[in-house]
Amino acid sequence: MKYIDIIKENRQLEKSLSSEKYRIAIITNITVNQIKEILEFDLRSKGIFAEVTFGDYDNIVQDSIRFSDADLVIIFWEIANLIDGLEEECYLMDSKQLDTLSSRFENDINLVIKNLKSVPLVIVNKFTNSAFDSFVLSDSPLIKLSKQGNLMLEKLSSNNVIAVDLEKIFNKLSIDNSIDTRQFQSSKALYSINFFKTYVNAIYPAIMSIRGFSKKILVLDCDNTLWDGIVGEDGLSGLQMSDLTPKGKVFSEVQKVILGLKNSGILLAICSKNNEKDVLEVFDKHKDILLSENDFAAIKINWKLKAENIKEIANDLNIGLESFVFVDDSDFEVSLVQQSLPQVHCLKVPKNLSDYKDSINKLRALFFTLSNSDEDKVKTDLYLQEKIRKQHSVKFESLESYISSLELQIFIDWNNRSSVPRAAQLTQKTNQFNLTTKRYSEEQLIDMLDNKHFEFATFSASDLFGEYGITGLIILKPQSHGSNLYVIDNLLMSCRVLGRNIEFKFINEVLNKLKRNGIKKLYASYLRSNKNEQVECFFEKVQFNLIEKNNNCKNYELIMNEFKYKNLDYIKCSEII
Amino acid sequence: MNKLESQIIEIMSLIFNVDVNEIPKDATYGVFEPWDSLNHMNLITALEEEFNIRFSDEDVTDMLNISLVEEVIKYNIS
Repeated sequence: MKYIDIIKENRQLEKSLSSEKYRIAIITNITVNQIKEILEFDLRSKGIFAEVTFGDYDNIVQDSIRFSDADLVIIFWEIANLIDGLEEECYLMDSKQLDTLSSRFENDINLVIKNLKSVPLVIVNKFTNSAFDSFVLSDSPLIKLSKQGNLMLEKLSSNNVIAVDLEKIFNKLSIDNSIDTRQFQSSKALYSINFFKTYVNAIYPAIMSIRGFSKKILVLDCDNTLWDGIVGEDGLSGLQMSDLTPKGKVFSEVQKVILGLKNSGILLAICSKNNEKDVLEVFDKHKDILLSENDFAAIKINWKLKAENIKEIANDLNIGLESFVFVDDSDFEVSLVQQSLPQVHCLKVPKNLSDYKDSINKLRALFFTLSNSDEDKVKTDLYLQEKIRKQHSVKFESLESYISSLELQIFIDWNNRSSVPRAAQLTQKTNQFNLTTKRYSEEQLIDMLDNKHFEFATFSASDLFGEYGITGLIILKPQSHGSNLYVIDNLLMSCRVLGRNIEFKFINEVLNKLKRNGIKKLYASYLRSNKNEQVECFFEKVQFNLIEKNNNCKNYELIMNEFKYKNLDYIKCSEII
Repeated sequence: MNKLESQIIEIMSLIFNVDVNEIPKDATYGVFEPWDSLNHMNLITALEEEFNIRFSDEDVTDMLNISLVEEVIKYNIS
């Protein structure tokens, strides 16, 4: 898309969007103003009302203080412009001068990243001097400086700071297409319009992740998608997926990539028009198959519409359709799914099979998440347990009798630092059972704990079938320091444990503790998002009084004296102190 | 107004974020307020993409008013 069309459409979008603004600050020591419209347009067209503000030219350290309350900070810190004309000047400096420059630079990096520690997401470009140095046999002083800067970045890296490797963008576009030095001397502009378009595309998954929009599950067809051949026609022995044939090798590699995705916490599912017995036999008996039936959190092998099957998977696993990626070799199936479920990302197996592995690999960007917790690695197991649980539930008449048969237990854990990574991840990923949808980074939560302004409790749960891990969170703060009036800043629960009344058990225990601790009154809010309708009346159900209501927000209070503890005794609870 | 001229003015109106009618015929770089150095750079980018050309350093400094912009584009297209 041309820059001018981006500007035109961006102005249109500005008028049509009304959601809360996503405030992006770009702090820089060069001119990058053209990124504004491209980044805004890209995010706005996906429903995020982004607004880009620039810091002052070459004022990175001060700007890192000024923008410490932004939603996202992007840093364009150009080594060649640390001092005006440094790209030549560096050859005239002696080693002492270079050392001084380098230590000042390292100090500044340290300061800037520290100043930005409460920003949910900071995107900083790794330092490079490729724009001015293409000599391969030795490094210019600026490359040495870049390397030192990058070491510093690595040292300071944390969950909210992402370092972007610009070299990969240069490789993709070529350096000549990325850099445009015509305006460097006069305006300190360095990058081409194509660079900015590619850059925005490249950082987009990080923004999606912090906004809770990462994809979570990969749904795969079987014939000519996982293996070469059609099981119903070619039979078990006719299917190719070994390194021994060129076609088979493609599919063996694709299977490896898919297994790798699963190991990094992405769920897999099968959706295939076949006889179930035939396909399961392939997983069970084919000598070359790498994937097994247990790698899939859901399996739908039948003759129904694929869109219907995908909806069922979404329902079974409690995952929103917008978290789905679907891969199939048939144009017909892909476009049918795309039409009926536009929120699902669809990939057709490329005509040119040698492109297949690469296109599956590229899906990784869509699944990108900023935080990785131990639970990701065993996620498929958790969903498989869920499957057994659901089969178990069929045997019971009432929900209560089912729930009590599960032998549920929850463990409430107060202000535990080691739960912070998972707690931050829950704020970022949970959409449905999320009362205020406030997202936090690990650093922000640590900050809250350190300053004692906040308290938080997580709970983990287990039942007859296994552990669910840490699946819920409440964040509380006193209305003012030392006050006995408290506010529920957020309350959320992973959809994994929905439908078991665990939320009621948890809130009852928390409220009871607050009452015991002498809290007089508790305030709470429900803030509407696109996805949290199911909890619109949650606070009413747990004895809160509605005091104020408008379209997007409901405010509540609970006078603790009036709170009556309800012991749901079919769920056991213990507190970890 | 010929076709090229109206194309240029439309692009300018988007870059400068002003209505087409608000751009004077004799608009000049540095004098007409929205036409500052940043917007000059944005204009160059938009024109290069639109006409699939690449301006030289001289072109960039020569394009000081609408008719000069038109001249430079014509020269580069031919």
